Amino acid sequence: MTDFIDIEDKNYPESLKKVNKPPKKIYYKGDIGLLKSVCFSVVGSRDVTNYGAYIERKFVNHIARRRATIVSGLAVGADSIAHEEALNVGGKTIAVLGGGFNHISPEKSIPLYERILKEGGLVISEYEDDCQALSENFPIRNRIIAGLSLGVLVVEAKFRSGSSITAKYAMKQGKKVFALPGRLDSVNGTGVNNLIKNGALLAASPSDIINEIPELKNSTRIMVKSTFIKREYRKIYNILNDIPMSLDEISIRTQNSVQATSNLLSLMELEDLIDEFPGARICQKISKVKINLKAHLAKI
Amino acid sequence: MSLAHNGVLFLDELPEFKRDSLEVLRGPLEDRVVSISRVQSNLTYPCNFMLVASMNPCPCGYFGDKERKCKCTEQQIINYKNRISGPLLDRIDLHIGVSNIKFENLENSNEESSEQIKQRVNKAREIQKIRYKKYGIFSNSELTQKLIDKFCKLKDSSKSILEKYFKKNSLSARSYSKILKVARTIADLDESKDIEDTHVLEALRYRILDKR
Repeated sequence: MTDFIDIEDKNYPESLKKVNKPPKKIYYKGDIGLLKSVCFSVVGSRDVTNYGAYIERKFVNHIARRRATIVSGLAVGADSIAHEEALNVGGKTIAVLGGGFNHISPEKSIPLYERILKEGGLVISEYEDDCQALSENFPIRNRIIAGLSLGVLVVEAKFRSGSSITAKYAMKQGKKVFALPGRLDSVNGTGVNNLIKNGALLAASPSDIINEIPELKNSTRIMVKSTFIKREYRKIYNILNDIPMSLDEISIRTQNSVQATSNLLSLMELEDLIDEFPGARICQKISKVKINLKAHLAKI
Repeated sequence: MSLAHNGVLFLDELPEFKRDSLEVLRGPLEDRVVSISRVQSNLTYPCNFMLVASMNPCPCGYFGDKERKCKCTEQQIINYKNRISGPLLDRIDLHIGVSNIKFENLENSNEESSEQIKQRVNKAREIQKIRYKKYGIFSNSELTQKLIDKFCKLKDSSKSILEKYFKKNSLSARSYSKILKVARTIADLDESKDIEDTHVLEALRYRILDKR
């Protein structure tokens, strides 16, 4: 059976006792001490767009480097990227499950779940091991995500989505809620824009968040070596962003022959620097966890 | 299939064929003969053909399109691609993605004409014919494993590229020899005696469907 702590335990964070119906027991794997660290939640849509994922990665990068533990829900899409990026910079992360440890959901996230445990993170659940990850558990679980953290960042969210629920819990609990402004013509934008209308803070840069939360502002930064990009790749890498570009476009912009560009791109693909989309279109690698296949389809 | 003997068998909208009719292609593609067994007799027909097939990236056809929005769900796209089994894909040498052509570009293109391409191809075939004179075959596609070892030698740098690629995409031994043959052909088109890194890299770009 999985280890657990109860509400009387010294590791049980005070902030969690203040949520509606605080969980009596918390089942956990990993470093339980993280519950009392400075936590910040990042949540968002499962169908996060390429753009959303790209921006989210930058934000999480900065927040995690301020030694905040990134809390999220292990779902595909935005949640996974939050966990992944926190680990990438050598930071800590907590995943809050919506079911027991025998039913890690979704299945796609199991490799990430294992990575979190391997790299010193924490996974918790209020459910017993054999509890199925029922869909009605997830909105309830979100009160824990909100309860653990000093603030919540919502990346992209549909109207009345799980992420908006997390944000609402956080507002009720008096936490700071931030939202990235969403596209007006995208379903993923309606939720976040609605949050901003209702009092969430618009996060236009990571410092907007860091300056609002003293614990982050006063923390020392984790120094990360920027990923080393070989010189010959740099020219291409620097013109790529989240918007897929065709081979011809890249070769024109780097003023290189199509063949040379194509060779470089093959090598860059092998080194996991780029993503390729159907129709031979290429963009910067957004995430190693599979983000939704359709992510880039949000109109450009 | 036998009707396409020594010619081209073109299957449009490949995933729209029934799965089992696609799977029966596998044997003939390897052996170049098609065998039909009935109670009374066994018949064997020759079918040395080149398989060319086309498909959309998704059921609605607009996945990855720059201008129009695809309406399919992620699962629909995966299912659509899965209608073509891995072993069948393994037997296809070149997978190429083509995107839409803009109206402006429909008319005036200053690209290589078919005539010029034909010349290049003929030259490459001539090179292969001469090279394989002693072995009773005409082209790279007919190379057996033994001959692959002999004629498709790779440099160490190319080997390490291939190794990385294989680890990343967990491919079969069959695709390995396919890639070697394609690289050999690209080198021939370049009129290069040895297979260079750039030829291997180009060959890898024709394997887009390996990445699932």
